[in-house]
Amino acid sequence: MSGVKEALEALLDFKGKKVKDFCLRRLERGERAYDILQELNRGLEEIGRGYENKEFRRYFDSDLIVSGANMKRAVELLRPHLSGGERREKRGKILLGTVKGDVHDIGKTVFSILLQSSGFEVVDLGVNVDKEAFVRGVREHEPQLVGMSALLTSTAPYMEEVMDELVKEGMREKVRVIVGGRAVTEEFARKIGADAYARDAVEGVKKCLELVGG
Amino acid sequence: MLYRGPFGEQMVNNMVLRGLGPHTAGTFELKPEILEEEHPGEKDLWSRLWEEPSRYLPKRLPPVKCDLLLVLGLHSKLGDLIPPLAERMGARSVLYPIDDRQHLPEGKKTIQEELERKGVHVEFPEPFCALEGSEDPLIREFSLHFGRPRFRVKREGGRIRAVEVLRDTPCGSAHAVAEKMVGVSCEDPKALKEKLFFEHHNEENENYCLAEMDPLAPYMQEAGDLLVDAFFEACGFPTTRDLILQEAKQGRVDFERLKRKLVEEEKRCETERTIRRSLRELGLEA
Repeated sequence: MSGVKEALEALLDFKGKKVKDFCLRRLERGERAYDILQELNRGLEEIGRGYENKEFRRYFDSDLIVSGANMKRAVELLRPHLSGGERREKRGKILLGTVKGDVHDIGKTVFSILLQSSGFEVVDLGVNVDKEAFVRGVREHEPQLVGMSALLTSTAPYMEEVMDELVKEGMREKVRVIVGGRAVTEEFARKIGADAYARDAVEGVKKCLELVGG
Repeated sequence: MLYRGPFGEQMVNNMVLRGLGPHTAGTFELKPEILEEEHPGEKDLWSRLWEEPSRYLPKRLPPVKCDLLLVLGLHSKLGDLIPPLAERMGARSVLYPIDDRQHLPEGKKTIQEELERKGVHVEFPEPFCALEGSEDPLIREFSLHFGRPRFRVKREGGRIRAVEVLRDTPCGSAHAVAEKMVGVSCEDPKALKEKLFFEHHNEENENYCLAEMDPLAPYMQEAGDLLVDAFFEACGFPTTRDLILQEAKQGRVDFERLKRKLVEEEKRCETERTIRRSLRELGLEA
């Protein structure tokens, strides 16, 4: 079975057993945890492309949620192997949250675990986070980075309100902002004045490293 | 049962394990990729399927016969296959729930007419867990076991001591929620509602609601409201219908007002669809 097809089957298994087998089999073969995640990530990208295809949508919301939950399972299973092989010094602090109106947690959680594995200190504000909570979080924790996530197209515009609030409270110059999630595009990120955009958790970690000069 | 994807699989798995197993003639995952494999390189496959669906019945479909055909989470492009498939299987009734805009068949009206022409009864509950009885005897029998959730709750000293699921949701979230509610305080209805709603779509549970949750198509939120109301009824707390009737007694049945009060201010309901449904069920629809 081809890699992507196998990754897709593992990611779309609602019981989560196949993704566990997928990871364990590869670890036994001596593959690096990071490479296993990259392989699964290619599966996630395929699902994302199928979801975004306007002419023929192959994947639905439920597929995104289940594949996200399985990615989270994989990251948790691989976490001990990731941290062992990655750099351990502190890269910086990031404040994360899924914006108001959106209760999706999985993508952000995967991002959070990968960030921690790469040496970031993560303050996770959770889901359905309003602009006031983001501002309070920046004031209290003094992070270098703020990460906002949205899965729903109807909630992504709230990111702009958070950006405006950061400006209004005089905090915009103190933090770099990265946005991501299924509902967000690079163009949207530019439009609202974010410093970086990431299409998935793996790319998000790379962008965060760039933002802190790592 | 014809299904597609993890949501369909979760429903099949739950219903088979919770009593439908011995009554199941067969299960088959019907997805667009199967037709693409069976008709490689065929141009305009989906328009051709729409024009002549009986030519595109999947070759690997097991030759089973059934009375009731369940269509779970099928891709909207494949809906036109259902009338000829139902005929081939000898189905007398079809249950075709819609839990996501992508499940809604492009030719729903045509499919309905085609099935009726073949003497097959069809229903499209939205969401599936809103199903509560039917004029059709097969669907009525099915809905005694799966559909709109129903609970029996035993309380003791301000806490929930036991929860029995009298009717499960097809996806199994009612059982998953019931397990999580034992030992929870039931003194504060607001906190109880929040816990119920959270557990309903909690991805950590064995089964959880996977219906679409976009605010533009809030099937998940409506399903959550149905579950909260069922649990509240079992606890003796006022349901959405009770709250609307209270307003009605004071001559204040107005959709916009109810929406503002129950959805926006009190957050008793997650979506206005629940208000519309309750008004419809109470015969108070504007």
